[in-house]
Amino acid sequence: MTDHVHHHAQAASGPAPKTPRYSPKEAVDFVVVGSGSAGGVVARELSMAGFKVLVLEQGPRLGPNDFVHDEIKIQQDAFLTNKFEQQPGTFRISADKKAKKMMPIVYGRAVGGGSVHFTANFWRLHPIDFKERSKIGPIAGTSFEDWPISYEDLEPYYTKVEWDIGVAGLAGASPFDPPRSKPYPMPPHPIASTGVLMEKGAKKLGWTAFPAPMAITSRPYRGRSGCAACGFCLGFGCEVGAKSSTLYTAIPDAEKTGRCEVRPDCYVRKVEVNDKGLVTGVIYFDKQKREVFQRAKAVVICANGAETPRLLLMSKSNRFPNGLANSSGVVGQNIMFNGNVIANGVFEHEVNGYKGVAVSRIIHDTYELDPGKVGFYGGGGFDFRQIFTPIVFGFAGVPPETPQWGAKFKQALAHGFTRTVNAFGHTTSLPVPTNNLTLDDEVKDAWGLPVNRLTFKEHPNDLKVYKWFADRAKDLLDAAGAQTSWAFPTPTGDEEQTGGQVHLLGTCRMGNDPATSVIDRNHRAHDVPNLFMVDGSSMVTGGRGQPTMTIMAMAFRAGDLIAQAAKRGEIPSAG
Amino acid sequence: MSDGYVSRRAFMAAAAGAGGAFLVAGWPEAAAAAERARDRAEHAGKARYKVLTTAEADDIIALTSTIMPSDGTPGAKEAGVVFFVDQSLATTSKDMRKPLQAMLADVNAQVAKAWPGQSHASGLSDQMRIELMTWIEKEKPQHFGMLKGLTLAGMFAMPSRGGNRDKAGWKLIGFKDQFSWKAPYGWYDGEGAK
Repeated sequence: MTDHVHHHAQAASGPAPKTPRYSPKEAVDFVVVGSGSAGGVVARELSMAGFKVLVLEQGPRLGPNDFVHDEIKIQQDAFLTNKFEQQPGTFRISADKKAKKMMPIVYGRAVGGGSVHFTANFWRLHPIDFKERSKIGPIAGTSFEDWPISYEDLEPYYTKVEWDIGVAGLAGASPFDPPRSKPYPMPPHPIASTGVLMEKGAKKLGWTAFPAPMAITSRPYRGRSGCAACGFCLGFGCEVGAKSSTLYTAIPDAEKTGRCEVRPDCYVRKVEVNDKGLVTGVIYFDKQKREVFQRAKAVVICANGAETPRLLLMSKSNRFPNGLANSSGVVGQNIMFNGNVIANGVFEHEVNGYKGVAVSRIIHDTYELDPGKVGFYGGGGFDFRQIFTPIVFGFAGVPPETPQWGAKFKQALAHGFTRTVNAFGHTTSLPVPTNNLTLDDEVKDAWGLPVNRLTFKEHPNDLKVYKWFADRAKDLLDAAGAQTSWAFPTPTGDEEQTGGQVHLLGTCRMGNDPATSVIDRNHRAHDVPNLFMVDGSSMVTGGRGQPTMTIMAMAFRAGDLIAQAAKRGEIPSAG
Repeated sequence: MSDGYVSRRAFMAAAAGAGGAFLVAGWPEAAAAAERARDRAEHAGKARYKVLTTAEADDIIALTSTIMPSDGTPGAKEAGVVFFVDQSLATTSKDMRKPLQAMLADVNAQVAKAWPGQSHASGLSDQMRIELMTWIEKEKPQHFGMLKGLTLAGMFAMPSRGGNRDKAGWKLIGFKDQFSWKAPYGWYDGEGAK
């Protein structure tokens, strides 16, 4: 046993090596907690760099044979996500209120994490996202900050996501595209009726609709088939392996090294440290709810922006009484969800937005709005799609003045399903320190662990952003020729209910100052030299929606930097 | 076999045979024929419900077909929404039986109050049921939510869930359950783009 993480000889070329089965008593080089967009990629990079990697995933390992277009299984049974009966949460609007049990947070709970069921919009952040605080200045009531890294630091890794994971798009099509070192590896998906309508609306408003970058194969790619255009992306697993989830990309690559074991149905409840403050391993519940202590030389937590801070807060010890890696008190703070607003339009002819990938055209003219002109800080982009599967359409799809039952309701369903377009606005949302996740000791999950308690109130600036984008989304539909259009109401800032937040960002932010951030610019915990956090929690600002591309790019970068540090002997281990 | 399962399996088998290339195929006729046979077999049976009593089932038919009426096109009754409810109670939603019974009891209490001599929603005329649903929507929003949820799920869930018979719900809204599509998808990227 050594006192540093070391790397191992590369496997010789030849038949695919056997997937290892590590003993809990063996200190693997890295335990990676979570197998989603971050964990899958980190496991790939570390195992390909020669390290022994064990991935622990809460959820089951599923495959194409498990994925069906069954709305009940997805919506009611929460087949691919955390279930209310097992892992609820609680919510309150401010710390002086008692939190109520509900489902504030939804996350992917299967090997591949949220990337199994995501829509696959893969926008890069723009250079401005990393240094906007310097440009705009402080905003009262927020912890708005620049990132400690720049777009240029991340660019090579965005390119790696596009090529190693697989993103279809058209370089140069957007006048607002950030600089890139390579074009996309695959052409964009065919333009759908939603895209044609968006082009029409954009033209009238003086904007540019351009081919959407999507993490879905538009032709056979790296051993995977091209997309069958079945249309069941959001919420569903891909039955042909065309969606570039880590389940179909990074994880198989990691397993091919012969050094990576993916252990599903393993729910980590604590990261253990020794009296020197070094991580020694993790305690998890296996499928039979038996506790197992797995030794590790280093741990990388990639459990998502809600589960990562929760695990740190549950990993209290005498040495770390406020939770592991939380000397700053910032763990769990600054949670951001991205603004997400929707307007709806019914068109004369059939759109059939339920076919094909969700999005074929997007608009970025509004990425960075001028606060002097609009009266608030913020920005974002638009897409057109039809998000409603048949049952959901019945609940939410018809125009607001339509009767909710009877012959007219039925007529509206029959007319609208194939003709309705949802115009989405994806926007900034500010980091607010009092918007946070803490442990709720009064509500336990099915394993007896405290659930996440979300305390959250929209910042007044963001309410203006959401309203502006909802209004413009409706304008776009009208300009595209919608016969009827309406926007869903935007938040008012005093909601006592919440549910289903999915973009989980900012809760273990990176920064140069250990007093105000949890990890350094290389994703290492300021407080614990052999502990790393990589996922949406690392983000300092939330971008303009669509964070998964950035989470994967950060994971490629973190994997690279962690491997380099380990090879240089710069990651001490408990031995 | 659920139809989604059959069609997906058929798709996968065909896709594998085609070397993973694009496949544009509708439903294999054999699978569709097997489904029709299954439907006939189920409809022929006398003991139609696994969990519901006939009285409960009749009330559910009456109420859900007020939400989705049988007019020019099939409604909740023809789509077999009641079979969706029954199958859900027997399988995935066993804990819903009591709330469902409580809802029906409440609704039928209103029936008896508003129409003396009547005791079940199923005994009301079309016009009376419209009055009843108007009352439920206004006075009992939770019951309305349950009834509407069951109606929509029973109309539009996969037929393997018990409802959406002969894909009546999907046909109504124009949804086609193919597992592969090729552009053009709609009028605007098809006819309208010419």
